[in-house]
Amino acid sequence: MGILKNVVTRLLKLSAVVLIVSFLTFSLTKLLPGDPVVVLLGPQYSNVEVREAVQKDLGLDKSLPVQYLTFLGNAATGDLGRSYSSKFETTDLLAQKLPASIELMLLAQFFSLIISVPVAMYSAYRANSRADKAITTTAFGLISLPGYAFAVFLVYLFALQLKWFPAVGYSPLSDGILDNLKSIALPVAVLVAGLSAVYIRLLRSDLIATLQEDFVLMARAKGLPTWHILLRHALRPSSFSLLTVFGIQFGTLISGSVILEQFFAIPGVGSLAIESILRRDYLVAQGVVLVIATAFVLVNFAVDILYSILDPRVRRSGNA
Amino acid sequence: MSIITRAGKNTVPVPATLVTDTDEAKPKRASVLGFGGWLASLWLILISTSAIVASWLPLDEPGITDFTVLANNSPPFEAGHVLGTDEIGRDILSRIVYGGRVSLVVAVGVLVIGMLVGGTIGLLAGFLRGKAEVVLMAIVDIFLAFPALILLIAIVAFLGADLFKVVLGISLVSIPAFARIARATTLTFSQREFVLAARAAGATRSRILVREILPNVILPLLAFGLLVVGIAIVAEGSLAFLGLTSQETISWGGMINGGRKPLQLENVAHTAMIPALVMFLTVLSVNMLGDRFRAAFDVKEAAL
Repeated sequence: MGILKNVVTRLLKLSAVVLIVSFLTFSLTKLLPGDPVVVLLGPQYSNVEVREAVQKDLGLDKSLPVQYLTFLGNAATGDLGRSYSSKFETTDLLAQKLPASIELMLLAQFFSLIISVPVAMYSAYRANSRADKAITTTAFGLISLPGYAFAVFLVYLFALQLKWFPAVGYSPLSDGILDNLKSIALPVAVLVAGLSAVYIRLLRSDLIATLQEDFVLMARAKGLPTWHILLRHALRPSSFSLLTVFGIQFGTLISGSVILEQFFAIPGVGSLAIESILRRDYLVAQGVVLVIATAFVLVNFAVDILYSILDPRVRRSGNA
Repeated sequence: MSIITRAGKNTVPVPATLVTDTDEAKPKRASVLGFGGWLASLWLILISTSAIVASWLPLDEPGITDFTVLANNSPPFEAGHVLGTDEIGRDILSRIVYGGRVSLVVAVGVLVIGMLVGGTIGLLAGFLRGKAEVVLMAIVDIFLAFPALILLIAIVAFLGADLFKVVLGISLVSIPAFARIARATTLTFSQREFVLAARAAGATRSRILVREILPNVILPLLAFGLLVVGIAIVAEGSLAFLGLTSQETISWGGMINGGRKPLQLENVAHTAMIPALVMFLTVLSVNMLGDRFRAAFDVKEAAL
């Protein structure tokens, strides 16, 4: 009962947020300087009739509320309009750019988790030892390391000096899996460094707290081996904040790898958003930002729900 | 009480040795900063004072190309340029020092605007509760629901690219985070006995807010603000890195961007590496201080 009511309230809240996000996106692109008609025709174009025809064609002659409702209605039916300059459908552009972004995101998350869970477990188990101090110090340093600064260093070392990986560029999967992985290895490494540092810190401090609990003492008294206690008893109750942040990072990574996409010339969604904003291609910008923001909101929503399903304490008190 | 940790094997385990994390109260006042904290403070003082007095320092003009430098790219310690010259022959040391100004302005701007606006919103939401809280926090949550960097890019595209507007944009984006922290801290302090005592003594609501709660909220908020400053410096660098800030502004991010093209990086790595290193050290220092302060003022992240 409780959980269902919880989900319904959250769903209502969610739809309100998505609606407001869509309104913000719409207003943002209206506020940005530059007239789409000028972008389309070029600044010199002076024929008033043609200008008005173009304006009408783009639906820009209608009042703003009507424009917003049209945008919303079209977006709801999967039509995000087409680019002013290139004539491509926004949805096609997104479909083109999504694979690279998603690959980057999934690989980064996968490796961060694979690295951070065992490291954090070791660190918590040996809390305050020299190894633990080295791990926490390194993690703290990595958190402070700006991605693009680290990228410069990695490209210099692994692409230009050692020549193990290409410096920039992206080879799609159709070029063969090895080339594809090679081309994405460095950006993934940059993301993994930042992400796993966050995960290690979170999981380590939660694990240390869990290891103080009586049920761990009990398990120990039963004579269970250490690895069994760490993996089967301590990990699950310690993993909630890790899971939350892990989920939120999916949302953040959708747009958060913008800089890296630009740095490594990876054709991703983040680059699409920036380029369309800079090119004053507002219909595309509008569509892309709406998709990114909605995905962001949806992921956060899913994390909230997941959290209350996983943790009985949250479920009972009804607030996460 | 853990026996799984090796630290307390032989006798009764001492929890204090196991919980090394920030929430352990440190009895000694002097150890708030620690060795790393002192180093971090020294670095930040060096960066900010040199940035402030940059025009009186014996530095080359940051925007002038030194044509005597062969092929425009001089490595460090040669031809009279301590850190070498960049991709078009400008003195890197001078640009680092002047670039520090941008980071300093960003840091101060974000702290002031974030604490003033975000702090006020959070304080009011946490103190007034009820409908005011619901409305204020809903607005905050909506802005937090928007991907920050995209929002920042759009704001900068809307406002313009000069330094003042970039700082304004970054500050606007950071307001929601400040509001959440201020609210969480206000909520915990509103429950405390001294607030009840003040209320019982007949203090007005505004007096309780300003004299009892505000002084307690400011320090944790400042500690959190330092962590935001680190992010803000990186964010300004990101904008410069994407070429979205004014080309006339000298900033570390812009310097990294200038020297990052593969060909350049291969031959004259220092043009991108030096500003990258300086930015890393600065963000590290700010984070370290923020972490130390937060440990000292004990702001629980779980209270968010």
